[in-house]
Amino acid sequence: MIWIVLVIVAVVVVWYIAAMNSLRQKEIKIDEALSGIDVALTKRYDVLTKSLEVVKGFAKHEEDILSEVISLRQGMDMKERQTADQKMNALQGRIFALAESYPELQSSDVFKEFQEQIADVEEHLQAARRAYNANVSSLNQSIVAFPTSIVANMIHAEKREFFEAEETKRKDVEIKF
Amino acid sequence: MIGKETLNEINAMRKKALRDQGIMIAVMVLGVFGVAFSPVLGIVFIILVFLFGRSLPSKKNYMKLYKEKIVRGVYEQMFDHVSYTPDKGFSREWVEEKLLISRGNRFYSDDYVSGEYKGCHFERSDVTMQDHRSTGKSSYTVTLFRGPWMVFDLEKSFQSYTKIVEREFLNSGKPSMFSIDVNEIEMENTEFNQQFRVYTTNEHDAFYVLTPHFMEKLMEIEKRYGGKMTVGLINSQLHLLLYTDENAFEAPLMEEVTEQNAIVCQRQADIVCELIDSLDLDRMEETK
Repeated sequence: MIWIVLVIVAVVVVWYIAAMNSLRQKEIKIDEALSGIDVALTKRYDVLTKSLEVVKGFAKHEEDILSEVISLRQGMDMKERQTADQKMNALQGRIFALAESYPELQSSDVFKEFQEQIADVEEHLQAARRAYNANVSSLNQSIVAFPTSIVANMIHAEKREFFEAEETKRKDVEIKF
Repeated sequence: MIGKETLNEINAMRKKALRDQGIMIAVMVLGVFGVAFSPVLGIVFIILVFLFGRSLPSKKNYMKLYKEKIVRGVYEQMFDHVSYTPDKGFSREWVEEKLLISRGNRFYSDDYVSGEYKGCHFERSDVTMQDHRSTGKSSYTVTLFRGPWMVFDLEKSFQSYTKIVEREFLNSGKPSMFSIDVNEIEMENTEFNQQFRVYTTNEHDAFYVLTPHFMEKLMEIEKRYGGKMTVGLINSQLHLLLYTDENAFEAPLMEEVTEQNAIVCQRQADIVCELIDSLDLDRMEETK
């Protein structure tokens, strides 16, 4: 009888350790995916900043429309990341809208190159966002699903916030670079 | 599509190859009986085999003519910058280093074609990988892969390894941990996850190339071609392996070559076009 109890206890202990490791691994994967988002946001910021300089050279009298404070720093929370992303969306929209009013700018090789770079960094950001959200979804499911929810409670694993892709907010903002 | 004169020429060659094969079989049968009666007849048999053996290249010539006229004709009609080598394929080393199929001790690859369709460069070759084992008196052969292996250049730039395999009972399809350090990842598409396993050295690159649109199209392709499929995303190239268990470009010896043979060959070439069209490989930047 005692052996049966010992075997059951051993099975429970092994399962607990496996579940705990799985949850911790998922948390690490989320942190890695989050750094992927930060890298993609920084790349996008750099490309938009450079293209903005080019646009400013063509549309000097429209500087007011092209000045907005977009700040990126290390250790941003999800809301700050989303705000930065939304501001970049808005800025990108304005750059392209303005380029339409300046055919010389739109047909210039430099701007075409920037358009390609903007599209590429955007795809990288989407990939980083999807990777992060897929990992968050996996962790959140484990946290609520029985019986891993018991282990999640015991090790205080918490559900993570998704990186939402919101539509560009079209509002006039003060721009400064 | 294929002229009547060309078909006549191919069929004349086919009949010659068939006749030579028949003569060889007859000589062999006579030789076997001859050796049993007299050693002199055995020597005659050897001389006859030598004489008729010289005419056997007619089968090789027929195969060559068939592939040059039918296969090359179809590909040159459908693609740009076509290069076709009937008797060469991917090298064993090249295939093995891709880690997309299991290693066996028998390897064969031929019918190498490269070309362009709507600006997308592709390569394809028929590949067979088998594992032959002998245990005492019995021996058996397991076919690990047999079918077309297609490679497409992607516009997206990435230096990583991703393998997508269909889920199978008791077979994970995971590349050997001694060869490459990969992790299994889950995509956001539940249906895709139920159908495929994804192993990658770089999660970000896997999500970068496997867009929702790309995943949907891969599932459609899998449904369309029915059989087993393996996909590799390796250093800015897409590898697509279809387990068809056939060599579509083989010339028929017993049946007459007709327009239908060109149609069968064209169906194979159509797969390349369909893949490039449906996966938007000619304009990757619009794939979202």
